[in-house]
Amino acid sequence: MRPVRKKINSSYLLMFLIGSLVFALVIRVFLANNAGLLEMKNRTPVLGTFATYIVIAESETAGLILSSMDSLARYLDNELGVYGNGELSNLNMRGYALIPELSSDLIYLLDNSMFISSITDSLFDPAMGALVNTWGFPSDPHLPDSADIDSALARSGLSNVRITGDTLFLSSGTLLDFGAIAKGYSADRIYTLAREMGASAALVEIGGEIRCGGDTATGRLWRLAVRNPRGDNIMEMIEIENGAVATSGDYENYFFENGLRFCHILDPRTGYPETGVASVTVICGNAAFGDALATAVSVGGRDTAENLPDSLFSLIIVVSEDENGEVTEWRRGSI
Amino acid sequence: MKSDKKYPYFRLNDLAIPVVLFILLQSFRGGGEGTTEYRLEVHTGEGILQYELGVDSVFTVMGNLGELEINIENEMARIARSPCPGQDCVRQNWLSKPGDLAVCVPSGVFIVLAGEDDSLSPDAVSY
Repeated sequence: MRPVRKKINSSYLLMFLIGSLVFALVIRVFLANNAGLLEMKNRTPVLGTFATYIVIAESETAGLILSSMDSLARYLDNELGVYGNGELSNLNMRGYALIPELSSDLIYLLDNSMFISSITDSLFDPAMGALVNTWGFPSDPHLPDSADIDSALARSGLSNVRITGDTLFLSSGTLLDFGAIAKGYSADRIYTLAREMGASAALVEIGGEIRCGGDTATGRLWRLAVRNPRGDNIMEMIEIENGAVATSGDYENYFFENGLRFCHILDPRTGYPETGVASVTVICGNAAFGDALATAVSVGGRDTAENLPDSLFSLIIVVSEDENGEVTEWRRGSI
Repeated sequence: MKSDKKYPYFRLNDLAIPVVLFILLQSFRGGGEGTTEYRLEVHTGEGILQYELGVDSVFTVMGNLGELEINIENEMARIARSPCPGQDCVRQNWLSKPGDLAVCVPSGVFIVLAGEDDSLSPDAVSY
């Protein structure tokens, strides 16, 4: 006859066996349910650049979500772009607009552009369209006459945007251009649409501005690369579940004249392209803020980054280059 | 009992542990769908193209500014020609291991080596 202790161990073993089988069954059911989830990816031209969309959703709806994301991108491109015939183009052409008639998209961009401008000593400015056109970015970049720059500078800046009653007025020749925030904002909007349509997780990248996230249960960890501004390799590999990554750099659109680099990021104080900052990457909660902050820090450098409220970002990486071509990296925050 | 005397350190119940472990292992493995091929991914405005690295080839893809020429040679890949003004992408050396990446920002094109470990490839590039 076996000792009693042996019988108890056998009972535990049997219970463990049954429990483990039940656990295995639960895992099987969980995996079977998740097997219905499909990850789909698309890359397409939009907003004068390229967009990447990734969705994880039920196989029946993933394709619809993906095409809806693309449709929204094209709608925003037309409405918020300076070259389309949408809302922003009409506002620039007329020089005024009734605020109650503005779309929620344009209201968001105006409100948050003014906010970012207020916390960056006006280094972020959405009323720079006249200067951008004078420099010919993005299609025909060239060095303009200094008189032309001075003239365009006088017509640029938020000081030329007035609100009287419920009407928004632009000074003569002043043009709004949300190029430094619209890609990030569009990424946020398209991401939100995908999630509202039932995507368990989604990623939107427009011209390098990224918004991503998903359900905790889906467990999708997004692996995001940050480009080295002075080489084509990866400077940083970031893994996040939810958030945004935005980068501005002097390598996106530039030309050389007399050995000097002239990039597309214009300093609202001088009317000339920023110098000394090769790239700025901002990791934060939403891509619109990341996009705008990256531009402001590109103009103001480390001083601007040091004075930003902690609540607006997780990490800022500033890569600077001095006159001798020496590249240095500076960081504030962490992820 | 007779069997206990014959096998004092082993009983039938002892089989339960390896059986359960095997079942659990199979359950976890059932959800995976990993790739084992080593390939080049070319992200263009027309979509994401994939090429086997085992076959040397030269091909072109369309970017914002025009055609880019991409070479595959000796299981490595590079952007060999681009209409971009800076030519940074062309100066990039051969990509040789999974996760290696070359970006042509003006063209809106990037190429990345994806391999047996897909986790090395980025989901997106911030630039």
